[in-house]
Amino acid sequence: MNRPLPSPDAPEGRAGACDPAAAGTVPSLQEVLPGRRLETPAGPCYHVRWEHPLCFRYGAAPLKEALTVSGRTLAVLGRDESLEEVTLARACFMDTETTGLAGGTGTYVFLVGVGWFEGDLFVVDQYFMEDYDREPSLSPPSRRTSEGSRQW
Amino acid sequence: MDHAAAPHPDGGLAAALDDIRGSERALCVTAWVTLPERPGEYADFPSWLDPRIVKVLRARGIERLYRHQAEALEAVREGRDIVVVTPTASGKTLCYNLPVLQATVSDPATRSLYLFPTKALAQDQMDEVHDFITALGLDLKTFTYDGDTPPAARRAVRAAGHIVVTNPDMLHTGILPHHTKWVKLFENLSYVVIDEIHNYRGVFGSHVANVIRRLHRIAEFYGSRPVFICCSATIANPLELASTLTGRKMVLVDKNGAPSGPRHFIFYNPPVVNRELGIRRSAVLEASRLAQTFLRRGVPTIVFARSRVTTEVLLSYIKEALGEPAGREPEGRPSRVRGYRGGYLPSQRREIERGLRDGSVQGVVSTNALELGIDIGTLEAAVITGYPGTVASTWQQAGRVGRRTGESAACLVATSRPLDQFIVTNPEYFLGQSPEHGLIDPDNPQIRSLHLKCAAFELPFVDGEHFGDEERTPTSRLLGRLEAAGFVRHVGGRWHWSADAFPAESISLRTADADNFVIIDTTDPQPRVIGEVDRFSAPMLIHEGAIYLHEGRQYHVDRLDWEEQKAYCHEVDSDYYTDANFAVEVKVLSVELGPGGPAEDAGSGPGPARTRTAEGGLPRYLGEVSVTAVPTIYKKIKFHTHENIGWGRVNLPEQTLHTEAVWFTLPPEVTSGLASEEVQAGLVGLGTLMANVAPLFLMCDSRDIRAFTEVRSPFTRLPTVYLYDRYPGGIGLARRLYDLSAAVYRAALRLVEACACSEGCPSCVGPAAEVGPAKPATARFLEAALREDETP
Repeated sequence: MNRPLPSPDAPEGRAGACDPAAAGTVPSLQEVLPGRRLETPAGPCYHVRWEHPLCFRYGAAPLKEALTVSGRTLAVLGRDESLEEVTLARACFMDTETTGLAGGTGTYVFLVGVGWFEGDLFVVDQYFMEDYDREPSLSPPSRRTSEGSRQW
Repeated sequence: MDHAAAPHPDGGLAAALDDIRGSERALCVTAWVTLPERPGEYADFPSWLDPRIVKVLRARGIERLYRHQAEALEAVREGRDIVVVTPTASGKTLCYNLPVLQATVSDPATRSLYLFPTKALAQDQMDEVHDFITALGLDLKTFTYDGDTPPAARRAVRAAGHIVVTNPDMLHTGILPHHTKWVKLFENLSYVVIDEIHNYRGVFGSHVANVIRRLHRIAEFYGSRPVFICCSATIANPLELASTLTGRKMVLVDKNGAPSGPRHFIFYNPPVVNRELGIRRSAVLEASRLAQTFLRRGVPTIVFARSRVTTEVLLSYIKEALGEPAGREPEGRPSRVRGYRGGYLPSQRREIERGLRDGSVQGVVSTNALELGIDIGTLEAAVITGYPGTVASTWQQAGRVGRRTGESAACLVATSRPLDQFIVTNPEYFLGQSPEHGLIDPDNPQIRSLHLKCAAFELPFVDGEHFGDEERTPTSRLLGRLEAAGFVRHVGGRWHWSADAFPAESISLRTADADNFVIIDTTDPQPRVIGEVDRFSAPMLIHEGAIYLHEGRQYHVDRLDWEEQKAYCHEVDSDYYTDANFAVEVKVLSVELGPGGPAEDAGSGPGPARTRTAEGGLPRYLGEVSVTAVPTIYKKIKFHTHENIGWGRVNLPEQTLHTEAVWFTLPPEVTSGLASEEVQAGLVGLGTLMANVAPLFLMCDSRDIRAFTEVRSPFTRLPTVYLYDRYPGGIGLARRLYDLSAAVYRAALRLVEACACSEGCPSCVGPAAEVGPAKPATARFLEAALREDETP
């Protein structure tokens, strides 16, 4: 029943959750996550590439097992007949991380990951939104990759 | 029973009124006012009105428009924002449906948004527009979008709805935060219709005004600038309310062109049955008798009751007296007299509304749920059981009856409450009183901040953008505070929402909690849901042992599962009903400001009396309080005789409201020489008066604050008046009152001194019968407050 309301008269200039400088010395993004700034027509974003051998295991199965999954299995699991034509070796995988799960327009995508099989590697490109005004920069690279020669 | 004197079951209203005039009940009438017949004022259909629309109107017997309708149409066509204020049944809905349909017919890309305060009204309006569109034979889509809209249908509403009918709450949580799914609506939004704007008063109205500000932002983002069409019942300041609510300059359309037949307004005071004790016959029994008189004469009648229990009790009395089936209705014979209130399932309500329109239901007993503009056809008589509390509400209830030609009557039956007795014995007071003001303050700092968060979530604020009154507090400063609290991030010239929460979800536009308790009938092997009750009313209506009345049938509540929000009951045939009591208590949790400013030690009780003269006025405090309402006992009350035939305990958790309050104490030197009854009366008078006057300064509604008085407060150890915000956490009203107290004292004292009553009336300290002669003591307290206040 009691839902405290934030006071609009809260003292100003208090160290906020979004003010890393106030929390002391913060390492640069480069130090934490080796990558590079990527210039896109919609502004810069931070790009990291990972290359995993197919024996790489994160969880129960090694990556290479994905290559044995048939289109039929995908169609059944995904309840979509069109998936029967899909070969995962030529597929492009994509995932996003967002600032909230409730949906709605105030939720930002801050990380886009795109992965594909290439020779004996699984390559993952990650595009990170460095600040709130950089969100548009995440869409062109992800679009470029997903609209390339690969399926989808 | 005097209807035996009427040999014919029919005879209409004139005969029913003669029955009243000719019986001993004529002695109970304290005033009988007849408002004269009014001729209609008409205008031809404008030449630009689409012939297809004209054809549908003609097919419905409408050959021309009322003057106010034509005025509204022209103003909207010129792109002006309007507010229409005319009585019920004056064809108000055409004032918005015609411009909207005209625009949609000429350009099917046109989109419109209709806002109604309740789901029931939205549904009702949807049906009306839908019928019109069907008659037009065009493929225009109209949908309701509210909590009841199935998820599967939502996509279609978003993409294809020409007219979306919803409520402010849904706009706030369901539409604006998801505007990208509503691109079609916002890109083409041409009209926003807000009906019943007199509902949007006080804190609720201030919230809605901010939702409209957010709507303006989103519409602008998509490049549209809708015209606003508002409608209101009669209030003192419709133009001001509509302008503040929408942030637009409005044109007032208030010259009612609809004709009306003569209308009778009857003030009725039940007869005294015990002269020594001054006890009057129950208003419920009298209202039931009057309703029977109308119904036996074949007059379509609505009976208003002040509570859900009274509604059900009245319904069973009337049904029983008229030989209507009580209990379970036999197949194929639905009752001609029905109940109507919150808690009936929506389908049941729709069925009753339809019955009233097509005449199969002749009488309806309702709470104020039917006070709003739900279309229930043409009724001829209204019986109002107990003064509804405001002038506007009384006229609104009386206005539910009335025909274009022929007579209609409204009868106000007074209860023994002092306020009712005052009104019925001083009818000229009521008749001379202007309806209440609709006051709102969209720039209330807390409300504005809450919606600023929602707005930032919907669309980042650009540097220099305004949201509300810049002079009171610049938007950039408010955004800066939100950034300091971690809600937004200022970067690249914009303020981006940066919290993971969905702000609209945790902000309720109304006080009442939305969650309901369901009532399950276990009489049959297959249990079924018969109704619902809101959380606040649950302890009163469905505690264990309660007789729950639903459509005149009785159910014994066997078990109330508070956690699961379910009440299990079975049908019974009992000769009593139940009525639960509440005890209200205000406890001080902490003191933020004392008489001389910030309280040094919150736990130490009242500050030293000496500081008072520095600050002036009666010592006043601001702090956090908890207001608890504890259900204590319930009484068993026998039907018809209203005897108290037993009681039981209610074992339910107390309901607690943590909020902000301002409180004033009366130091001994102010009360010295007064008898304790005088102190008590003056204290209650002071509370009543402050609660009456404060809304004018706070721009809120009288529902938004409450007064509570204690002759010896356990906390201050002195006579104390508390005024608290009726909102969890407080909404800043008490805080502002703390600052404005001198101005409020002055206005209160002027009011007491200028009031022509001798000992007290509802306009000042409250009716003398309720509080005792409070005027002299109240005036003395106020003078003391001001005298010291003016000491430098």
